[in-house]
Amino acid sequence: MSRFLFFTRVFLGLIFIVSGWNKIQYPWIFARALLDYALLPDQAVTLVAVVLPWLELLAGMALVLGTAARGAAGIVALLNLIFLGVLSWAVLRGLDVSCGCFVGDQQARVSWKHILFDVLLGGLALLIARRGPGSWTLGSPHSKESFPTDTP
Amino acid sequence: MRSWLSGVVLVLLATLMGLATNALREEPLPIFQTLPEFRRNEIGLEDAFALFAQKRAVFLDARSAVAFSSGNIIGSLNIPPEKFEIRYPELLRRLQEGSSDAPLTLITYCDGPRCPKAQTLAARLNKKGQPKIVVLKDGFAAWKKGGYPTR
Repeated sequence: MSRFLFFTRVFLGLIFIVSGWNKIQYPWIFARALLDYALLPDQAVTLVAVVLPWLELLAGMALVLGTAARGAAGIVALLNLIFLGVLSWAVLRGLDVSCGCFVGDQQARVSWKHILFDVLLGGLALLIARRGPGSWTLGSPHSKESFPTDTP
Repeated sequence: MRSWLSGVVLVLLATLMGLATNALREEPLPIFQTLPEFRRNEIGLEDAFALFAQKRAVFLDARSAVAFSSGNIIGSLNIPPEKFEIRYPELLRRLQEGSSDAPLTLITYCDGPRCPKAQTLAARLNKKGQPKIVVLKDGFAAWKKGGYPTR
């Protein structure tokens, strides 16, 4: 189970690193995708477009390294829950908007596939948040791995 | 560290990094500002050409001087947003020369859909109080591809 948790968190972390990094490079395009959803007040669009990608990147890095992995997994689960709401709303209303999930993927119109993927990632994040980071963590104050018990 | 606390730290760190890197960008996103002309202000190729043919528009090229000199829309002025204050008087002169009854439409353009400079330029013109500003959808690439006049 411990190894399974490790691979799960690295998988999840890498996806969020790629997704975050990608948006950091093209903030204008991401802002535009957010604006197309027309869910946020206009004043909030740019702030979210600037902060959210960094949150994805940092949470992804924390998951891969296994530092503060439970907090990061909590954030990722929460993000996925928000994305789930937004994506479902867009698909149900038949909105012709770009997903905005990965910025390079301009043509990707939002669809049920995105929602399924989102639910899968959210589930994995909840698992990490509940069960902890598993094997090979870089270390956090409460993980046993970082404190050898057999010190002389 | 309690896990909720590490979550809060991550959010704070992300906010800090996001705002800092945005401030250092060449074309930062305007934080806490509405972007009313950001999306709803685009003009399609055919409409833009109609204004061009009737001489009811001034085309403003937001690209760099190098890109501008290698090809642009006939009659356009080169106003990269970073040189806005230097070049803006030239536009004012142009507008005064062609003083007619109705104000001319200012059409900003850039390379293509991924280039934000045309929108930045439009926002700056808006701040100067120019009444009619639109952004050419998909920019110079689409104009050229469509076989419209360039020089």
